[in-house]
Amino acid sequence: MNRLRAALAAAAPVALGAHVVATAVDNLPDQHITLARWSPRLAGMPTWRFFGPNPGVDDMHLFVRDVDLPGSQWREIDLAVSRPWWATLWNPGTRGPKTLFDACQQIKRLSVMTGGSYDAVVRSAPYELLVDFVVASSGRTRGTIQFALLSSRPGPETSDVVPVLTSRHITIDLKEGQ
Amino acid sequence: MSRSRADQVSRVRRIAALGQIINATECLSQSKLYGPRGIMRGQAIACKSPLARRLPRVARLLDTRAGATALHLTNLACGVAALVAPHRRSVRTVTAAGSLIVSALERQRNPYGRDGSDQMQGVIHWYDVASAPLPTDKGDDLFLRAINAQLAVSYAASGLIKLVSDDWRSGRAFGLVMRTRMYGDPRVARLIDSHPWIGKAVCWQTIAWETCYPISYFLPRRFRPLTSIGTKAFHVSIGYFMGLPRFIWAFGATHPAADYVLDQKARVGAARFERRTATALAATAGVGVVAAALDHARHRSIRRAGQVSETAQVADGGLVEHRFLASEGRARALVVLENGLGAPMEGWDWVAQDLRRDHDVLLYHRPGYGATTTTLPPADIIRGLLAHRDRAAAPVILVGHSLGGLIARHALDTSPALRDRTRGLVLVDASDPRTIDEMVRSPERIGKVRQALLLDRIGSLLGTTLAQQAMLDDVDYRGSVQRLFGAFSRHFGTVHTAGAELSRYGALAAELPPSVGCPSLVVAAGRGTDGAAAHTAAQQKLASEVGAPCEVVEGAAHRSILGMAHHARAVSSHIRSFTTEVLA
Repeated sequence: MNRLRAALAAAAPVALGAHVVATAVDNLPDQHITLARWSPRLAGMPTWRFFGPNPGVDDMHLFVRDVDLPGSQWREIDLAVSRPWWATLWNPGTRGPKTLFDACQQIKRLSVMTGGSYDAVVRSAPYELLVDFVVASSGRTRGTIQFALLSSRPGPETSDVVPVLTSRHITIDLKEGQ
Repeated sequence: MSRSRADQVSRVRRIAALGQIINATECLSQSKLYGPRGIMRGQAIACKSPLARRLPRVARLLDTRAGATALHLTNLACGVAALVAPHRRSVRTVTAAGSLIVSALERQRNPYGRDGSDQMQGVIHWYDVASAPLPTDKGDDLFLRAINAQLAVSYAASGLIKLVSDDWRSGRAFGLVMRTRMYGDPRVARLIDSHPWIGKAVCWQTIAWETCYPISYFLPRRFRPLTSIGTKAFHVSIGYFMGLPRFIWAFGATHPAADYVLDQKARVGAARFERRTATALAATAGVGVVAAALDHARHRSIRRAGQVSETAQVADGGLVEHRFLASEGRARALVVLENGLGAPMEGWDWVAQDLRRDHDVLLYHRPGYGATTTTLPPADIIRGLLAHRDRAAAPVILVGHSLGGLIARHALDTSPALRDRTRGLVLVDASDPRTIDEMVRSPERIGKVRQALLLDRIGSLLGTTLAQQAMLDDVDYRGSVQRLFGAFSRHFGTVHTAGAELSRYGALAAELPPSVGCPSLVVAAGRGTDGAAAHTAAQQKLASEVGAPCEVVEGAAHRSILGMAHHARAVSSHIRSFTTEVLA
């Protein structure tokens, strides 16, 4: 036990030093080296590129409509982040929107990576996550809905809106309590 | 009066624990989001996480709301214990290990929604566990120094990446972020819209502060309170603007480590840990720079020695690096291949090898690329090479890829002599002059391209492009050609010339007439970064503008249309059919 502890004690400075160096290399500004590409085990390296090199400056918008109800219009699901005056001390409302934002970004990335393959997108985990979120937000337990994901670049007065994805028709048939 | 080492360690863990408690209670208060239809629902099974592959039953349990609640309660318990007894080594180690396990399971459960505060908490916990086997004094010293080193790396990395960013250097970034719903504030956005200099000042203040932070360790003692206050104010202001209390606590926890290192430095000088880490970092950078320099020198000597190509003198006395592939059969025409921006002539390898069965093929490097030293424009270079090869009367088919398409059109437009010789023009996934012109006129879009070129230049100098070169993922040439393609593309001179060419031909794009003055064909890649349908539509629009038919190579992307053998064969097949048609 003592020998194991001695070995760990000897390895600790090397391990921490190597971790600091690896973090620095992984965060070089040119971004050509990404350790996660070499091994998924290295995917947990800290990323210290806050808002760099190009900050996320687009807002995501989710619209939903009831396909089975005649005359139903697209309506927006509110994704706004709450920012009360005490948000600097306590702000539980950020995790959900951040998750949604990340999932939407992942769908956008997937769309680019697959050359806009719709099948690849609708088979992906973030798409399924969005489907569940939209179903829950629609408030319906039966019927057919469809959602649309749009991205906007807020300007001083108007925003440029770009469609990202229109979902397939989603049939809802939830049992009580689901 | 400086605090003791144990005090500083306790402060680090106590402040981090506050952030951990806030995080855990925030998550517990939103438990509905972690349910079956919530946005934070478990994704371990759906994402086929490593845990789901090895222990599917555990992953299924983790995906439930109860699983999430158990993780948050464990996180809360670890935070409370660390807050109450941060001076007890056993408590620190157990709570840090517990927090690491919770964090790993949370990542497996749902990979989205994590931020910098989660990462810094992870670093603090992992460093505390890793330093635990050491005797208390040494372990605490290592823990504080390693945390401080990560703080310095986080500052420098964040600052340097902004320094190379066009959005940040131009001062746009802060104003644009302030307009977003996620991190923005409409009042601040309006203020910046009416006083743009404020946005620019904030951007440059952020760049300067973050990039220069490591210098603060070398400042005289009297500046220490200033940097200490600055660091705290910086993290608090970011936490405020982002509405992230846990960010303030996670990064605030690193401040006692910085105070400790600065205090120790005043007494005994830099410790072994900092010296060794800095040496390792410098050695890593040195190896990269030397390897890059050797790679560039080797590539340059291969080109200059004529091992892979030939050079010919043209009218201004300069040299043109080129390859002439004489037809293996009776030549139907001479195909001149015009490279894209920053691309080597070897990029046409698959196409050229296929075409040479019944065509003469000419490939060359424009001024500034490879071993070409002439400054003549492409039209004069092509004419000079045709004369050099005794092909002055052969019918010419001009083929341009990417920006090479625009350059070929410009050559035809400016050289009546070349126009007279040319029987047809083929544009392979070529740049649309209007799109290039719009890009050049948009500060944001041209800024992004220049930024990419700058990053490539840095990668070329540091040698990081030797380790990973994303563009090689899209191409699959023969071994020696693949190596030449890679070496050429990452060469500093190539990236530098590409930047200059973009400026030159970008400025000329608006002047190009829509008509190309000869029969033409557009061969488009079936995929594009803006999606298959949008890309095909853009190429079809280009084809209709120049009055050409449009052939689509399904499944091909911008680089793979030439770099993958099966796509390249489709391209050469279209060129061959086109040649037959225009020469009939």
